[in-house]
Amino acid sequence: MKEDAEWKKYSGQKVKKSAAMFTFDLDGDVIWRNMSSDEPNTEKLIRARSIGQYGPNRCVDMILDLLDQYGVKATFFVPGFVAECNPDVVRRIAGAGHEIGNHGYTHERFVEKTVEEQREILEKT
Amino acid sequence: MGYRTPSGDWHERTPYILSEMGFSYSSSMRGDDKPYYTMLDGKESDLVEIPSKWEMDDYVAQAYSVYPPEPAGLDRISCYRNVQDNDIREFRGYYDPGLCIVYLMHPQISGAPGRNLVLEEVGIKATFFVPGRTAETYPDAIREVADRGHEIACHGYEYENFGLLSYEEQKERIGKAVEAIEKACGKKPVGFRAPIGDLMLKTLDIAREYGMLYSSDLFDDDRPYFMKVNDAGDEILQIPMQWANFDLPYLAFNYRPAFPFGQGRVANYSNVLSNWKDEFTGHYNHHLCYTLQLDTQTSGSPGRNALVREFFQYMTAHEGVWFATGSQLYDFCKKIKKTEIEIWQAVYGAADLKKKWTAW
Repeated sequence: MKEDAEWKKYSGQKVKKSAAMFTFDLDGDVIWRNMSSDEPNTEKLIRARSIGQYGPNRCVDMILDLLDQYGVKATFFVPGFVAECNPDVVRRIAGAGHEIGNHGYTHERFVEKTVEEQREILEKT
Repeated sequence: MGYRTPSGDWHERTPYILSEMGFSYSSSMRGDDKPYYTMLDGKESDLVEIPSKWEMDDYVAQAYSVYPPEPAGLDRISCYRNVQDNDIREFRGYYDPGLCIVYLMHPQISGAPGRNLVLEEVGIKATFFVPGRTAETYPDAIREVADRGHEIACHGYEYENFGLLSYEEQKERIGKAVEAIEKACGKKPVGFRAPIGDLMLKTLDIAREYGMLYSSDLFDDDRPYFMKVNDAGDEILQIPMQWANFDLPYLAFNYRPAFPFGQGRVANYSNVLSNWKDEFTGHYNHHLCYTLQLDTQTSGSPGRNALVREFFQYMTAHEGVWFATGSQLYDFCKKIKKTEIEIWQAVYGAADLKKKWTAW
């Protein structure tokens, strides 16, 4: 009963049986830019990156429609670089009432960064 | 009297040795589904080859060792019921020729005109992307596909990775490929798809210079769109595809060298069919353009042919689906480009589009 009261206090809702969080990582093409970096000419390769571009290009709107249909608010984690490349898409997500989360600037591996570098990345994003 | 080559490939002299030593048959090759006499020095020899296929090899599904990793990619052991389902589907394909379709492009079986061509049966005209060297090696097969009303398009010269070639090299390869296709079927290709590997924007610009009107290379959309390929603003139609709508990621396998990289298990046929159906239905419901990509050698075995045939039957049972070749799609997009295509580009699930497809 005590837990129910706590739940009510924080969620502002009637008692629920469980919580579910819908999250999406809007990575765009940064994964392919990063992961293919041991190959030559990656900045010129258009096919691998097009796989990631499908997300912001097409899938976000489809997901937003679906979330809207079921009245669910989700959290979209977006690398800063992807937000810079797709400002309209990010605005559409935020405009529909969803949350935008920090997902690094270019999907970095934080384990390889110094504390200073990590702060810098998070702030830039 | 019989011989099967151990894992790995055999030496080019191996069949000569077998013949000299008096072996009567070998069961080592993968490229056919019926026995044949081995060609030695350009002549049929007495050595019979009874091909076996990866599709029916339990090693592909069940071999396992953690250390050293075996197979190379150390994928999971396939579940028995999935393997059995594949075996039954293959057996049914072999047993009942009515279920089979023939892929004319398959080098080893291209000379089998007696079999049904499922594309003709369901009245679909398809687009065959052919490497130039394949057109040089099998000109009769390519011509036959073209004569049956299918489109022949350019697929590089010898399956090179355009992401690794210089401008001059790319130009040379595409030029040679276009020439080879024209020589084989009497018509210049107008469509381009780079082989597996990557490509550059300038690859498409070169393709355009060689007369290509469209490319089917990228994964960034589910409708065709015009893309600029150089600073002057020249355009080419992009007809995008998806890895999920391709047979290779599910079904391709070679033991040594490991292919695909990582050597994952062959997927369960029924589940592959289920994926293809889900994607097709999604594209259908949203009025999009579904692009199926098949490799003739991957879907070439009788069981897999029957699978593709089942999928075609599923697709053709839907009302209002226009089965178009690449160049037909180009004509359509060119015609509606000025007005409607912008709307189509801007609005997700454009309601108007359904009418457009229907009207076409």
